[in-house]
Amino acid sequence: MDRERADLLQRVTLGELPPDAPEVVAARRADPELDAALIETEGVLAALERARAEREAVLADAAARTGAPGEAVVAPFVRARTASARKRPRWAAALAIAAAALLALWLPRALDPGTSRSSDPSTPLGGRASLAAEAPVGPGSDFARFAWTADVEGGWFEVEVFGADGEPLEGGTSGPVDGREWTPDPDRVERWPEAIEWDLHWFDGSGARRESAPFSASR
Amino acid sequence: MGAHHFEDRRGQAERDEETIRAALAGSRAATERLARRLLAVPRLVAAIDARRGQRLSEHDIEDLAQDLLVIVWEKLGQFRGTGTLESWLYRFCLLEYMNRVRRLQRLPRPFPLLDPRATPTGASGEADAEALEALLASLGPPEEEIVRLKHFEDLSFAELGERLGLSPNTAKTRYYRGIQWLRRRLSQRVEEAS
Repeated sequence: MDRERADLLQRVTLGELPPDAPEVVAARRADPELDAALIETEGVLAALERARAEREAVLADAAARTGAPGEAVVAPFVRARTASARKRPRWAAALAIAAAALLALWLPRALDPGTSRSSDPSTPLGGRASLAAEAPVGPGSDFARFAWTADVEGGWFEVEVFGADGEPLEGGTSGPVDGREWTPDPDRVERWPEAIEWDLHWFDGSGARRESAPFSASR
Repeated sequence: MGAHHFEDRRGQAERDEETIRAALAGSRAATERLARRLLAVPRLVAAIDARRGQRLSEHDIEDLAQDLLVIVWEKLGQFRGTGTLESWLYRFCLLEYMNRVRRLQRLPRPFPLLDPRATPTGASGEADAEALEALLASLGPPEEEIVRLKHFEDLSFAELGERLGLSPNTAKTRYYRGIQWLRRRLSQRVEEAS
């Protein structure tokens, strides 16, 4: 998709140009790829509007309700949680955070003294040379932060993480990333398997996927 | 819905943020206010269930509401007051409700399929809401918040930028990326399913 048509897609998506404007209609006729992208974009926008109507109906219904099952447990739950927060001295919380940070720095090296993650070579498994992983790569990795290098300009990146069986992992999709690193939700990461595969994709400004590279890592 | 309605929502969102901050800091008065505001959790679950033909028993709803309170409490520090507390809670309530119903009824597909190319004759807002909430949750910030605020809170790009500390142009670019990401992901799922 060329620049002019990418601009057209953006303007229609943003509502700056109606999908039936003469220049849009002409471009759609000439470019089946743009036509398909616009049909799908209109479908997403329409679905968002239907979801919004559903959401408003639920919020209005909930606002009018009293005596729903489970209401009786709310106040005791909130009081118990804030009371336990009040009891914990601030210095204890600070000490716990500092200890956790030190442990996180020390533990991986203590368990695997022969591995230095900072010197791990990037090992793409057949992707193009312009996308290279910094972390996590190879054995002894942790999955807290995904980082890479890329000799591309503009656009954005996306990360997808899979188990060894090729199934996508919960919380393993980054969404668009501007920079060259992504931090997944730590709660989800805890539940990931010991060995993962991950794909790095680069999209140009029009939203077209231009390059992808697969990597593997284990912890 | 007029401008006044959205001004009311914004005022409520700011009060909710202040209430949460004060309650988490140990204020007893704020704790009581927060307890009243979080009554929205069981009420939202009951409302969602009513719109889906009462698939859960009263006991299941109570059980789910308790689990949701734990989930929401862990995330409460992430509430930024960009929308009202009920609007923020809705996403968790809907996703957990879907998971619970699927688990209890042993339904195979994790989320309903939304084909962006299909003509929406007889389209179900319920199914669209489920599919989109699940996808928006994996889109992540800031695009997730921008798409939500644009479509669910009716904000202009200028208002969006103001609330999120972005220029209107950056808000537009992020919104475009978010919509195109949703488009690609939905198409990909439809292709995989077929």
